[in-house]
Parts: sequence; C-alpha cells; structure tokens
Amino acid sequence: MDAIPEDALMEILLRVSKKSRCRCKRVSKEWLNLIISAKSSPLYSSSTTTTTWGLVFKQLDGSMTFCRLDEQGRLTVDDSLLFSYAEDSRSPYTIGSCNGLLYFCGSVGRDLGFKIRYFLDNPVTKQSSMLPELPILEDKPDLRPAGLGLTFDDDDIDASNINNWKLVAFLQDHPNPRPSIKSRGLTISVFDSRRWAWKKTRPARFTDDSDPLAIALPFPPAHLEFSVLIKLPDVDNWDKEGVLWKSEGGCLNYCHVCFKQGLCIWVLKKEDSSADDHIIYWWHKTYSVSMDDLMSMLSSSKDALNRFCPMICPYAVNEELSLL
Amino acid sequence: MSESTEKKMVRLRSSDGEVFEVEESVAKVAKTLQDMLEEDCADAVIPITCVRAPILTKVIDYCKDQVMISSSSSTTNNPNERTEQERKAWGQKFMEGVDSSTLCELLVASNFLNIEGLLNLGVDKMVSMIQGKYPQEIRDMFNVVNDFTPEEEEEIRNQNAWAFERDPYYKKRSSSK
Repeated sequence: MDAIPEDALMEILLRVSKKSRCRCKRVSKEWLNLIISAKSSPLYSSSTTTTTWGLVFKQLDGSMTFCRLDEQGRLTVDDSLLFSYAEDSRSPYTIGSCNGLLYFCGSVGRDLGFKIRYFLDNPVTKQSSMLPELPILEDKPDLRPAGLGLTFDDDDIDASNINNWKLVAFLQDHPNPRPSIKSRGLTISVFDSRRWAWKKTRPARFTDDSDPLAIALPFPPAHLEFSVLIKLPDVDNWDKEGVLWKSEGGCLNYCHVCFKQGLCIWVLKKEDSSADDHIIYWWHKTYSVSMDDLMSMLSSSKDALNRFCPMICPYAVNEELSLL
Repeated sequence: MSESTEKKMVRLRSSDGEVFEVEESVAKVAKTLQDMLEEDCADAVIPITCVRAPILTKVIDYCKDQVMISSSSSTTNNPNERTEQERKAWGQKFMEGVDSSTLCELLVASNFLNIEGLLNLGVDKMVSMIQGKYPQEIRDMFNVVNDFTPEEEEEIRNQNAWAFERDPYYKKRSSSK
C-alpha cells in the first residue's frame, strides 16, 4: 500500500478529535512526529484552543448536577456526577483548575454516607474521576478540607506529562472560626496520581505567618491591582449576585452570574503591544446565556430558578492537554 | 451542452499500462495535467506512473463530474449546479464503499495530480475512518508498521492516557513493575 502523502496525513491528524489525535500518536513514529510538528501549524492553534467551564447546578430535589459549558455555548449535563445535598450547603465546593483540569470536591450519595470526595474533570475527554476517600486521622474525625491545590510535577523529564499530578489538600478541624494561622491546626494530605492513593496526612508547618488558604484565591473580586487597572466589563446593568474570578491558561476569567437574568463569562486577554512596552488588556466576552435558556438546556423547571447554584468555574485547556 | 464538433482528447496511461482517453477539459481538472498540457505535451500519452487503472478510473469519474458542474455555470439556470448540501451528499456518495487501501491510493493520486477537491474528499473520508479508533485498528486499516519499541509505546501511552484511556487492544508489552 502506498504511503499517505505527508501533507494529507497532517491535515487528517489536525482534523480528528483531540482524543483521537492523542491515540494516533501511538500508531507509528511518523505519525507521532507529524503530530508533534503539527503544533507549529497555523491550523493547529485555531483548531485546538478550547475553553470549557464547569458549572454546578442545584436541582429542585436538592441534588447537584455537574455541567460543562463550551465556547460555542453548548451545555452538556454529566449524568455520571450527581452530588447529594449535604448538610453543608456549600457542597460541592473548592473548585479550581490547573493545567486544564478542573478539580472540585463534593458530597456524594446517601449510600456513601454524605462523604466528601474529590473529583477531577477533564474537559477534553469529558470524563470525571472520583478520587479515593481522604484518609481520616483517628483522633480527628472531624477533619475536613479547607483548601485544595492541583499541581503537576515539573521535575519530570517531560514537564508536560499530565499523567503526573498531585492534589494537595489542606484540612482543618471543623467547625473552626478563623483564629490565627498558627493555631488553626492545618493538616496536609497529598494525593499522588501515579500511586492513585492519598499519602498519609501530616500536620502543616509554616515558616512564616502567610496564610496558604488566602494565597489559594488568585484574584479576589476586590483585588487592588486589577480593580485599578481594568474596568469591569459592562454587563448591561445586571444585578450582581455572583462573580467568580479565576486565572487559568494565562487568562483571567471573569464570570458574572445573576440568578434572575443568567450568566455571562468574560475573559481578560492580554496583548503585548509591539510599539512600546505597554501591555494591553481587554475584556473579551466569551459567552452569555439567559436563565431561561439555561433552564431549558438543563430541562429543569422554572421553579428551579431560585435554587440555581452559583457554583461556576471557568477553566482553560492548555496546549499540551488539548492534544488529549 | 450540445455535442461540439471537435473535442480535444488526451490520453493517460496508468501505472499498469492501461490507456484512458478523456476530453482535455476533464484532464485539466487535475492541475498537474493542466500544467503539462499548457506546456505542450499534446499528442503524447501521459504516463501517470503512480496510479493504477482502477484508481485512475475513479479519478476520471470525479473529474468528469467537475466538468459537468462547471461547464454550464455561465448560464443563469444551471440544472447541474449544486447547493452546499447536495455537494456534501454527492461527495459522500462518491466515497461510499471506498476501502482503506483504495483510499490511500486515491489520496496519493489526487496529491500527485493535484486535484484539491478530491484530496479533500479523501481527507474527510480518512478522518471519519480513524476517528475514535485505537492505534492498532488504525495500523491494521492502513498497513502502518508499529516501529515503536514496547518501552517507547508504553512511554507515549503513559504521557497521554491520563486517568481514563482504556484501550482494549493494548497489551502491556514491557514487563516493568
């Protein structure tokens, strides 16, 4: 059989889905090299930059539904992820993203005894994975997550190896008002993807008074630098009921939610002006949807409006991951 | 549309020696042939060295169709003109039943003869054929030799599998662990 002309094969590999392209890497060295070199193709960048947002909605029966919203405004409900409405009304919570993966935790099923579990979601493969239960210290049964971080190992030969990640959980005794950082009694537990297990928890020790949980919030709404630098996008006089800031993939995401009107997602784009050293920021309106549309997409009744849960997290897909 | 008195004919010879006589307009759909004809190779039999007769037949079918569409495009009400949808449907029908080896040959032929439309049809077809397939299935389909060592393949798999990939065709060949 004749070999497929290289240009044609390149075109083909650029056109298949990301997941398929990832599989194609294993076909042969020629295919792998083509996919690697495809990255510099102008077709590549336009076809693979995706941003997906994870949304969590509270349903009438109290259950939580996880959805993904893509740049084209397509909303897909993930039926495999149904959270229970636990006594902790904030659950699921602690939503963040790193390297294109969304991570969050939530209470699951009655049969699981309202246990809080961690999840990772891959927007490219549209799959979620529930991590094993956190180890609980014998003498501190009330220990619960207070902060969470996802990291990728840089010391690896291939730093972009997305298979090696760690989830770092800060745990604290509950309930605990916010006393000084030293007396908060934080405990750390690390989940290692390669072992697919939590490492033993150990008490956190801090070298200074900095609060790791405060650092975990990249851009609080009133972040001084940004409120001065950049005017907030004009959201047509919407009542502000929920805003969410998140930096990911080199972009600052701003999500505006009004439970009567809908939601609106803006991304702050940065451009290095070639003329001088000035950096130009501008708001790029990515997506907005009315609450009616949202509810019909979710095929939920209008009564659910008031129970719409403001859990929204934007997350971007980096280049390496988009190959998946 | 009426039979014009004299149509210039061009002869093409496939790699396996079969000679096809086609109208010049049909041959000119292929940019490569167009260039050759304009550089005056008029009477000779043009050898298409890398294309076998059954493939060349298919290519000529495609070119004839293109000529049919474009021939009367100057008239206002062209009955042959197709909407975008019809064009898509026609393309799908044209590629229907094309197996993977024929597809490879068609890609080579349309690449060599420089027929963009046909190349695009081939690319579309191949995209639909490999979409969602596992590496081994693709190798089998297109006769690609797996030139990775077990260790290399495992390495790529590890880099990209993330937590979810479940490949029924993949048997761990290396015995690390």
